Amino acid sequence: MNRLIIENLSAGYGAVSVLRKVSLELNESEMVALLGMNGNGKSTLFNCILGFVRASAGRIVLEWNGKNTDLTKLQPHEIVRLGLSIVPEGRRLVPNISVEDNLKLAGSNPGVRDRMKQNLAYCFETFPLLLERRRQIASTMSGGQQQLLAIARSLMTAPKIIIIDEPSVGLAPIVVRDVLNAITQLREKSNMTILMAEQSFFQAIDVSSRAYVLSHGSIQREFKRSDGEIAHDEIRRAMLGAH
Amino acid sequence: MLSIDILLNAIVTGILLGSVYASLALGLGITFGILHIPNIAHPTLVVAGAFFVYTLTQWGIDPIVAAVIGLVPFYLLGVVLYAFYSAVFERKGGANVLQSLTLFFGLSLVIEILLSLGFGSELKSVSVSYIGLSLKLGVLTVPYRLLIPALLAPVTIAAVWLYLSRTNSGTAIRAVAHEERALSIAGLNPASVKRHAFGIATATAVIAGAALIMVGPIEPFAGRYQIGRVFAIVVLAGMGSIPGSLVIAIIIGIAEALVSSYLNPSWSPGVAFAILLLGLALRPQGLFGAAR
Repeated sequence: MNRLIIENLSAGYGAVSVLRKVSLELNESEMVALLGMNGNGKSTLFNCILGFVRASAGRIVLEWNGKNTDLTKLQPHEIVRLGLSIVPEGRRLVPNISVEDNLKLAGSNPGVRDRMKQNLAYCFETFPLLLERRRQIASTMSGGQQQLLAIARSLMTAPKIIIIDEPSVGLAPIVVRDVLNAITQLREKSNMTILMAEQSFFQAIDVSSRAYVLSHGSIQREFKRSDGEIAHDEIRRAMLGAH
Repeated sequence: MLSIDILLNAIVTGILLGSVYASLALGLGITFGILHIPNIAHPTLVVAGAFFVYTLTQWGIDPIVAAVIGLVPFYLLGVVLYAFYSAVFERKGGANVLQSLTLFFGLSLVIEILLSLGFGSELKSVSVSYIGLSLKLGVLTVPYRLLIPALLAPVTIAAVWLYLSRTNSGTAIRAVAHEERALSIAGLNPASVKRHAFGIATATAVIAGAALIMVGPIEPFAGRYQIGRVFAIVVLAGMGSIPGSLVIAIIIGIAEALVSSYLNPSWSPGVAFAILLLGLALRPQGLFGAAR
């Protein structure tokens, strides 16, 4: 089975440890939500998966098509080329270049370069708004539009897995719905494997098959959709760290 | 009527001189203007380029052909320099400007001393058939030793700017200083993008070097007189505005030529700074730079 496994992952910044023995897994075609309040380690976990933060212990293994790769020793661009893509916190677009150039930049890495045209066409087909605005400088778009661009950009590297960090943060509620709709649509269209962090969890869990709650740097609980409706109260309690 | 002659000749000389300054500033426009690395060794690299061209002309090779031959070795030199810079500073958590300045100051001293050891400290020049002749157009007298090097700048600048603005690797270079993480997310290695950019910047030094040594004889320490001027051009054009630097360089060239014709040649080194101060007072982001 194709999947990403994280086993007993610990990480931090200098003397400050943020993640303590985190274990989780993400199977192909699954959408999993990672829930947790601010400052509980969601972004650190994602930065660890992408290689921006080094793990102090534990493993992150991509098992795909019979090949197992430990990601903990790799550089971020190597991890991206293996098929992990991220829509990061703060979006991290290149502000001073156009929408199209932002997409092309991601499509130009040696692993996907020869499929750039198809990938670009796919992005524009999925997000017609970006086709309309393809000449616009990225920083002049609204927050929601920039978020859509960041999602589209993650498609340009032809990912196996997309990791989305708080897509709704800093956006107006109505725009949040647009962004989440885009993610849902993406899933329906391509059955993409997605790990998404959120703190406004209501909408996130509606579209997810499973959810992990990360609290104080460790996985507090796991909720499965097969358990029936995921109970909002229970999630809220777990997010606040109550047992 | 005599004064009109002087004025016209001063302006034409200024345009040509400014164009040569633009060649000198081009590499710095990439390293400092785009990558934000304060490479004060760039003028010394230009002088090293001039000595490379000088060496090849001793074997009867035309200086411009010599510069083209020098592109690959100077690109590689730049790649090695950046790898060293990055190993010393960037990997250890961000280079501070003062440390970078010190490194590049030291580097330029080392290059100057190596050049002195290799070539001696006396002036060197190139002798080509067209150097020494002039083009006469009415009252204008344009020496070829100025005209030919001046033509190198628009060609090199256009080539570099087309590469930066029309290709994907050019986009990556323009993006790397703004949002390094965007490159990693794109599956591109930011360190190798910067190395490549530094290589291109250093490759332009050999073309600027050819221009410099055609204009007049030079010695190993000649780069020092250019540092202030090239920084003034890059900052005044607006960081990252490569085509703008040609316009600014020509303005500075004309102003210098007018000052040396009408006032006193010894004042001309101060002209670039006077224009820089005035320009920044009026438009702090540079004349062609986008507001930040």
